[in-house]
Amino acid sequence: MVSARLPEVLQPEKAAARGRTRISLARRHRVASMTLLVIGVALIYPLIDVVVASFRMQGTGPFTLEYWRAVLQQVPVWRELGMSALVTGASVAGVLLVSVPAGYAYAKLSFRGANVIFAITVACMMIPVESIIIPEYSNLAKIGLVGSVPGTILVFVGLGIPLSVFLMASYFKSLPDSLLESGLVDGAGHTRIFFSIMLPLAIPAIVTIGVLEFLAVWNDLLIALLFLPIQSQTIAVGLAALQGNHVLNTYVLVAGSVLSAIPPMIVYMLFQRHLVAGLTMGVHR
Amino acid sequence: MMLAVPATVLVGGLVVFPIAEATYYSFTSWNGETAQFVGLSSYSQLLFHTTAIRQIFQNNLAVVLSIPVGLLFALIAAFLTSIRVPGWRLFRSIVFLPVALSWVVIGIIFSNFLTPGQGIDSLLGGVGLHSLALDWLGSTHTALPALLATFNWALFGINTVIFMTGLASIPPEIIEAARVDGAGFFKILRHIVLPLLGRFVRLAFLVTMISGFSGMFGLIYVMTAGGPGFSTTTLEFQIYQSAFTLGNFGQAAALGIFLLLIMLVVTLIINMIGRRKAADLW
Repeated sequence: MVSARLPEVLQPEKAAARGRTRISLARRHRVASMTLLVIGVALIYPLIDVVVASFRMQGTGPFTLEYWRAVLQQVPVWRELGMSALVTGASVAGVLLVSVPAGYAYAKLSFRGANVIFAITVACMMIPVESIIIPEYSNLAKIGLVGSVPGTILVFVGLGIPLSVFLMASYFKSLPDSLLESGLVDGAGHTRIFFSIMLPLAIPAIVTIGVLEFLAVWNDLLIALLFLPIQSQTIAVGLAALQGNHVLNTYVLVAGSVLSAIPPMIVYMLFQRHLVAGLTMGVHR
Repeated sequence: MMLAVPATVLVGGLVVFPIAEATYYSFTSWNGETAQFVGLSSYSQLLFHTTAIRQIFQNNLAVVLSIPVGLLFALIAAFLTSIRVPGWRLFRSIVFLPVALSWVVIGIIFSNFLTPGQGIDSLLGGVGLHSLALDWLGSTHTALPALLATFNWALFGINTVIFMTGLASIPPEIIEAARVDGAGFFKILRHIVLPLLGRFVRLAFLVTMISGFSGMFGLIYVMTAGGPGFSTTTLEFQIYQSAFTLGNFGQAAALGIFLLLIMLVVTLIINMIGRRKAADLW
């Protein structure tokens, strides 16, 4: 029960029964609510303020749709959104395709070197992208993959694998071994067991990884900036470049940012639960 | 075993091999094509640091020092939500929202919000603080605080959710027992809730620090481009500048290895503090 874990001051009936006055309780309640309200307003006010400003002339004048019309009529915005969708979709697919089987292998199959390779893979989670980006750039430049869409996707997939494999392996480890054993007893091969027993059970973890990778790639600036061709950029790079050179009306830019945030917002609202699960997966061990 | 091959090859080629290369190149003067071995010279430049490097290290230190402030607000909000003060449902539904926003979008929103004559000015003016209407991002004194406030604002949602998970994991019987023993509201908070939250505080601190040291590039790029001067340049941003603006790949590689080492050391320290605290408890 919820009420059982509440400190006494917030359970009026119990405290009152022990002789405290209801008035002081009400006041404490009000202070607590006000505190939460102030924090909530501080969190949301800048967002609302700027979105509202994008509907007003020069940010403070009368209502206008001018800035939104301007951003919607710009060809690059739609092309950039398309590029974001392409790169993000391909990277999510790539990461899942590679990480799900690997996570399964590390969790359920024992093979030579598994522990060492898994440890190295997991350790790679700690490496900041800036520490490797320079050799990465020069390596890919040598084989002609800088300034190309496949090269960019390759980098996103490579950098996404360590966390994904770690989360996938944690999840598969939590599934009982008896599932694997009973499959083997029934005469199913490893491939069959993976596809018809393990994969369906792993869907929650797969969704979590997909959402994390989606947000990471859609919202990335550095890698897209360095590896994509200049003429076909993602929306994040396009907006950042415009912010830098001040050629565009600042409210058109704000409208563009809000537009670019709509796809990740939808993903976020649909999968909020999975995101929280992914965030706290590591703590419970 | 075949199942793990693609992942291993990709991680090996795209993460492990580059980190080895970065280590090698950090001992060279490298302009992207020819690498001349120069030993520890890139590192000694870091140790006998120039004014710019000193400023950059101070900025990274400021990132770390700003985190506890941000975490405190998240902790208060999570606690109030977990005891279900009126309005908690609405709060919970909006708190995680910034997680979906990119640094670029957050940077554009806050650049506008902090522009003189925009959002923040009318807000301060509304409560009679006209004198605080500054060019927040244009001055060397206020640019870093403004950037760090934005950074902590963006991480607030994640940290609040981490703390809410932590608070939900505390068995109600413990609090019940303490109350039966006569412990008051603040005693329970101080002696039971906070110690049991230890590992969640550690996780929140690490998540925020990793983000502040190696995930803030987009925010800096959009809001201040590291300026004015070096006042908002962090190590992470300087790596980009060294390599892709100045063409000094060797120094950038050394900075990258340095960043990795700093993060490993801080992570170890945080984990050690955490372990010792936990040992005291039992």
